[in-house]
Amino acid sequence: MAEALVSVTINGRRHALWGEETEVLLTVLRDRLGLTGTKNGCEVGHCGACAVWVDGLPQLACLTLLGSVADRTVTTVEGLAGWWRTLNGNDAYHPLQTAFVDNGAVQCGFCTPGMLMAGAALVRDRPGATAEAVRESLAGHLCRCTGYEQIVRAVLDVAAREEDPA
Amino acid sequence: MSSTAWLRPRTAAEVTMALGLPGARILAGGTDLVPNRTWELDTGTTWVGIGAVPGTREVRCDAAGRWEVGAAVTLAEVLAHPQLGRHYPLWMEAMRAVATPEIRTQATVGGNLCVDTRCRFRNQPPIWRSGLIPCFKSGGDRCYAAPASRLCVAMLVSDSAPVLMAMGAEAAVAGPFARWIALADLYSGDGDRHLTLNPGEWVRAIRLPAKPPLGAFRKWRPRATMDFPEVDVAVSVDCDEEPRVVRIVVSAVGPVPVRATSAETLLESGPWTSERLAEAADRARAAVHPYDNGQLRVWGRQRAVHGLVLDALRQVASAVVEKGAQA
Repeated sequence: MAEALVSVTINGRRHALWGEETEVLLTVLRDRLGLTGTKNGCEVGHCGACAVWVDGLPQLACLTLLGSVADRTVTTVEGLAGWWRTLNGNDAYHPLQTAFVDNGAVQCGFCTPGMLMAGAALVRDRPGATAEAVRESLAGHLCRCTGYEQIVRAVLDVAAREEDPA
Repeated sequence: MSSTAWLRPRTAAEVTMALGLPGARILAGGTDLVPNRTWELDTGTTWVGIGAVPGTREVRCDAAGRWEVGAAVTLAEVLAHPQLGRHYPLWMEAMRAVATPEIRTQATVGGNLCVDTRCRFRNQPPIWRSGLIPCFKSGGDRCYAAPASRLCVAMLVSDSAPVLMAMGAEAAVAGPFARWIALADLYSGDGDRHLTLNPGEWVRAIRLPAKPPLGAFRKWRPRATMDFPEVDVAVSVDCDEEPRVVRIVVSAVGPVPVRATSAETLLESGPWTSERLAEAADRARAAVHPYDNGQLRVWGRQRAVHGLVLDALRQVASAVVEKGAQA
């Protein structure tokens, strides 16, 4: 049986989705749920623009099957600020989103959702991460505009702040 | 796009039965199978997941000290394992070189070993391929990378295969005749059907030696991350044996990893002087003939074999000296 009812929590909201279990999460998010923040760059795992969190870990939505996220939690770039607000009880964007703006890390913006999800996971898991760790965590993400420097700088800024919140 | 079913058998026997369905494929992490479907390179209509089969998600050590790792264990889980890194640093090096952090979260040990072969003339979007008469692997009658060849010469791009071969690891084949095989016996030499597995057979786990040899791994690719290998080199030496056991494995130059046996023989006895190491690298280079199906030129890849083997041998020689053994 190719089709099934898949229950998944996306950005804090529970969805019951009827569909092919082997459909990729990318098309489910973009075409069925209208969450177009997750970008469709290459469709084959080469560019990183479609990175989302599955149970908190960055994964590529173009390689993730709908059936594999059953009863799990998915966070897309649209839910990043919400996740941060729930965690901190404030009304702000995720600091990495602000840091991207402050550091000029966004030009065309196509890679930004993927970079944000990978970067935010890193600063959450490894506060005080080194430049090498940041580059490693962003290794699967292509950017054709910025030359990466500003992006790395933005993540480093937040990583340093997370380590020493004062 | 045609519909694809996803089966999740709960026993090894059920997996074997499911593989008998038309167009059945093993679905491991899906990081290769899914994009291959997207680009219409793989038209399998039934995917058979193996993660629900007992043992395929386990890492355990047997009484003899050999570690067994299930085929559905992810590369990220291997890298995060508290014991494996200490016992098998060489394998860890290869695991870290695979793709990107996101892909390593999904990709599995078995998937990396059995990953489909790749070729510049085939692993392209459908519109690119529509300009070519199909090659062997696409159901046609020719090879663009090696026009005189009667077989597909697509490259094996598994980073763990050369390392596990150099370490003397084994793979557990499940199926009607379950058995352990040496890693080298897993690959057929035909890029189209690159595994020696019979219908209904699949890789259930790998087993690593209790006392792994010293070794070094080198991966050469256009970028320092993400890319598939253009040349992989794994070197290992076991100085406790007499003569010492040397393995030099070069991969990503054809459908099967190549053992540089002439270079190995040279280093089995006698001192590892810099001249002899250079000669071994020469011999390894002479043993390898990459096909013109990678992203980089054949000439460069062949030169890379020499440089990487020499570099890896020097690292192993230093490690041997550090360990206090004779080399």
